[in-house]
Amino acid sequence: MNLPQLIDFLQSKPDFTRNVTLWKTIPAKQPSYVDFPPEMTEKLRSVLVEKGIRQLYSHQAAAFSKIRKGQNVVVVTPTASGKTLTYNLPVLEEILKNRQSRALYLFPTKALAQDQVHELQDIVTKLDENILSYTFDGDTPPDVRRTIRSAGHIVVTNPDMLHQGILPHHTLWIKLFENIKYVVLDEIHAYRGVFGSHLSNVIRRLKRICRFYGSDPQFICSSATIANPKELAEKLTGEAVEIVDNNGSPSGERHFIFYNPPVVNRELGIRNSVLKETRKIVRDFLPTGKQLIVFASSRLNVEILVTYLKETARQLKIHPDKIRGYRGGYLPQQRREIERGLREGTIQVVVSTNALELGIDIGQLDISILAGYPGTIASTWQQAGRAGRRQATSLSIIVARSAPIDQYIIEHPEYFFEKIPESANIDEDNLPILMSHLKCAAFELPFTTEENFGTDATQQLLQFLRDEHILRETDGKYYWMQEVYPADEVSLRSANPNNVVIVNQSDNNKIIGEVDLFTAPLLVHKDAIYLHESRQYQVNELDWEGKKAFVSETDSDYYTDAISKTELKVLDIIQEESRTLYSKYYGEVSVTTLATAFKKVKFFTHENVGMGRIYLPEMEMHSTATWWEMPDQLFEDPYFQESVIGEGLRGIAYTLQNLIPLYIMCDVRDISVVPMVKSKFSNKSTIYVYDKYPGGVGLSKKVYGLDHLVMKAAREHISNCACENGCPTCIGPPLEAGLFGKSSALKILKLIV
Amino acid sequence: MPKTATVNLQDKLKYYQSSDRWKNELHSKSAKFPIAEHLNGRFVDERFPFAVKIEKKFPLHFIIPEPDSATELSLPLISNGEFPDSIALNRLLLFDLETTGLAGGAGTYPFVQGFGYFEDGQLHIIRYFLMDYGQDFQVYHDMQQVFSQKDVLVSYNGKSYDLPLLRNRFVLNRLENPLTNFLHFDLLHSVRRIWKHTIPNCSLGRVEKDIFRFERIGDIDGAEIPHAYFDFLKTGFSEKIERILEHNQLDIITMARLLFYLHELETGQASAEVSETELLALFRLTIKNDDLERSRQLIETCRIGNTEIPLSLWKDYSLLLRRRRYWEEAVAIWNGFLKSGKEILFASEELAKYYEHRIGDCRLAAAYCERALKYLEISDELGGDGRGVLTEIRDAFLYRLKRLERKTGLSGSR
Repeated sequence: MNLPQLIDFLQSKPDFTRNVTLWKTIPAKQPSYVDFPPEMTEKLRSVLVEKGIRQLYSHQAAAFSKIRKGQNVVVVTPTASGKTLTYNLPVLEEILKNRQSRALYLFPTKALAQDQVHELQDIVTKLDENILSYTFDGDTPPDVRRTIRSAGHIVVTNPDMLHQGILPHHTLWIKLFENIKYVVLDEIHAYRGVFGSHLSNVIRRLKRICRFYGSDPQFICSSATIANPKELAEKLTGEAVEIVDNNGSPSGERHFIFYNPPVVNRELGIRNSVLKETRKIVRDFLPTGKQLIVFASSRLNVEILVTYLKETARQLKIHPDKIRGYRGGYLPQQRREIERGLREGTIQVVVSTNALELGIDIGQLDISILAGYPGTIASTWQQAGRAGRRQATSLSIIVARSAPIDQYIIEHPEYFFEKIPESANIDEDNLPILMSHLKCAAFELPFTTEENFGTDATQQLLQFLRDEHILRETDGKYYWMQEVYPADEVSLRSANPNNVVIVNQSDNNKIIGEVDLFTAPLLVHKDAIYLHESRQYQVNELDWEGKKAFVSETDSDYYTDAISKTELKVLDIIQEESRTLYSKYYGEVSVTTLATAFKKVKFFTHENVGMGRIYLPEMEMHSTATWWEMPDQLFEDPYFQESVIGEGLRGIAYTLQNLIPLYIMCDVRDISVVPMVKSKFSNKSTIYVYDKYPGGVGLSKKVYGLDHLVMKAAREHISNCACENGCPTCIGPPLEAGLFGKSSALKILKLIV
Repeated sequence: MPKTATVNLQDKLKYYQSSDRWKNELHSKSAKFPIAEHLNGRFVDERFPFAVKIEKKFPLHFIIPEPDSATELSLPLISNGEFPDSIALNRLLLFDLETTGLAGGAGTYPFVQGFGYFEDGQLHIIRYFLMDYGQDFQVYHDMQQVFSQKDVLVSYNGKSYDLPLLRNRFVLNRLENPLTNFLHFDLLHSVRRIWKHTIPNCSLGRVEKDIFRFERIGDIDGAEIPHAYFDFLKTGFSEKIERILEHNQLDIITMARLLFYLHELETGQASAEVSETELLALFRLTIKNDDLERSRQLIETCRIGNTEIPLSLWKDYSLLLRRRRYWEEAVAIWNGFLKSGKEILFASEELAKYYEHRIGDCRLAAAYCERALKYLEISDELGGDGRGVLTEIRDAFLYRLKRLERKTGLSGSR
């Protein structure tokens, strides 16, 4: 069965179509070609022709001309649009004309870097001009490193390596830094939140080192479709950047299906689980042999789905090894093996977290299924884009969860197809992050008392570090005065440097993965069931000091889900505004989280089969928050008993938690909404929204500006919901939301917006 | 609403500080101390009184018992061929740095820089103590003359640590690297070659203790050095600075002694009794460097001193003999192996090759193969080596045997 036949089959299958809320067919797009730019060298032209390329796509040519004119650019194009040529061509052109020139390529992950170097290598080999390009990462052997430093024209690496391996040792890289012409930042949409805030500071350091060696590189960025590629590129590079978005690449016909699982409990407003529904859909596809990718919303869901689908495969007499999971926490060689299996077709189904959303080379697959809305429009397009071989028909299905955000999207498809995608936010001046990099920068080169590290507070911060005896001021300069190597203590991926490693005691204490420190109390507390490669492990012991979780393989019929308690303290109010019946604030808060207990949840039926306590220290962090305070007179109506107010606030918080990510580009997990009937700080009913990263990364600040919009959306969403007393789609499951949850939430919202 | 004071950047920094693990109670005092005089030195430049230079000279007999003999060093074996010719003493520049951290990288500062060279029958040691950051340019300026007269660096682990650090400093000070054309003799590598098995970790302190029977008293622990300097910067004084300078000087002296000691070992005029370890290490080096003359002498020395040469060295030695085509001696060793039932496989293979290719006696060669195969059979009976290596060896012998049988016209015997 080919794909069009499969699509016909689906269209004629009532128990599928009855759940489809939208079937959108996006017509094929013709390519738009232009001739090679006149300034392009003959050599480069002939190699392109040799590769079968006689003309460029319009965006490739535009980028080439702008870059060669000396402009920084950001190229915005969808997946599989010949993006890599847009930066490889100008870089190679430069090196062909001046053999001294150097370029630095940065990819968000090591895996991506290795992929891209293959592609680059192909042109370089054809050029046959002794241009040397190398990947430089943690796996590069020492003798090769020496060659790269002195002879590599193009150095391909990742931000972490630049941060820890290259910049602190810049004296070994004189050739690169003296002659660097271009810095390529690929997939910059991946650099948002904490990672982006870090990268922006790493780039500040890079530019500082380049200045020392007398170079001033141009930046070439590429991004998936987001609302603010130019703003993001400019924040990351600290330079003015021109946008190139006249995409000239063709695409095949795409079927985009919105699928809402049937309601199974009308009273509680519960729909069939997205995992079960996905399993059902995949069951129809498995016998066709079509390759498909399923994106799940969490690591846990990946593992559960893999378990389900392997089971289905067995029933269909298909070898269960054709179904694999893919997510962070797997070891690199495992991931490489899965990527290869997908390219070579030995793996038919991969279930992945958003880890495969980025341009890791797994070839193009036939079908993509999004088990749950990925959280942003940009991610949705990226994930859907994994299906679709060159100019052929492709199919993407998005299966909605009961979660408010999914239901909102499935009921408002226009939001998805008409609205411009979200913006990517970073806060390059986040204090803990900025401080980390100021230290690293001081280690690399002493600061002068006039220097500006991209922020006006630079000198004030340097003086602070001097007073703390971390820097020494002498003779108009600040010198690093610590024995430690500062870059070692800073991880770009989290605001927190330490990870907890997972040690498998049933297999010679082999390390099977790691989790970050903040989520460790929730995932690897004692007695937790940790899922990895769809195997279950029970945590025997969590060595908190040693940052190790000791696990052994087990075979239980349940998984665990941790419950945590959060306290909030306001440290500072930065902005405030009073409305008639409430006031809103933006400021800094200290948040303490304590994992208290965990539930044991049965596989397949999802029933709660037991509880356990967690004994772990509180995690404290300093972040930014937006909050709403409601004065007592709001609740004059005798209807509002304290418990009723509590249920109402909880309901609003639940809705906000799920709707806010739609308005600011972030994951549901990036923010946290906390309701309090009597806040310790103000003694009033308050709802807090805070960034779940130390120092904050600009999310709650965005909420402060959009708060009216968000509150209104919450009101509409709750009142439009067909349920009686609340359901997971609006204010949360009735058992948790309480009997008055829905009416109280609506009453409060109607009073204030 | 209760009013909260707004937090300014300073207050936020306080919060940041409390969450940071670097804490320091000490506060900067800039009490100037007449440090140059105290350290028996003088400022390199009175106008920038931040670099103290301390010069000392040691007569050579302080280093070696018979100084008159020494004008050049001969270290071809001990340098593993890196220095095939003898090196005049006046070409050498010893150096050793004390730094603000051990990780390396651009932010590590060498605040004590010690240099040593030989002149007028004396060891000159110049140490610089830098009283602040950004002053090391004074050292390089002051040392210009010396740098231009020498061309061989001598260090202890300088190849991977001290020299890269100095290179950093030249780059950061935007200076041409004056050491670019220097050869570099890293004593650590030679020490490892000889004492790897007897001196754990091969630290300079252990070398002193085990070879020179000399133990430092009150020596500063290397781990304390960075902090001592930070204390000095904060308070303007630290008694530990003197100990660091002392430590640096002792390091250079030991490096000098080690140079002469290795030279004596190499030339066979060691004043002290040469230990078994040293003898065998030398023997290994002579083989590695194809020095048949010296190997023969050393076998003699071992024989006289009743030093047993391990089988592995005999093996290597026989291969040296083979390379140099001293067939009879080599064959004697291999036959010796067979006779004593040791290294059967090795010896059989060598003998098989010898009779096949040198003598052209394929029958005899085949007999050696069969002997090896028989031996392998027995090993198998006894459980093999458990790693499957024997299978590979067996295949190699079988292959050789087949070829020999083809050549001799014998076949089907196995």
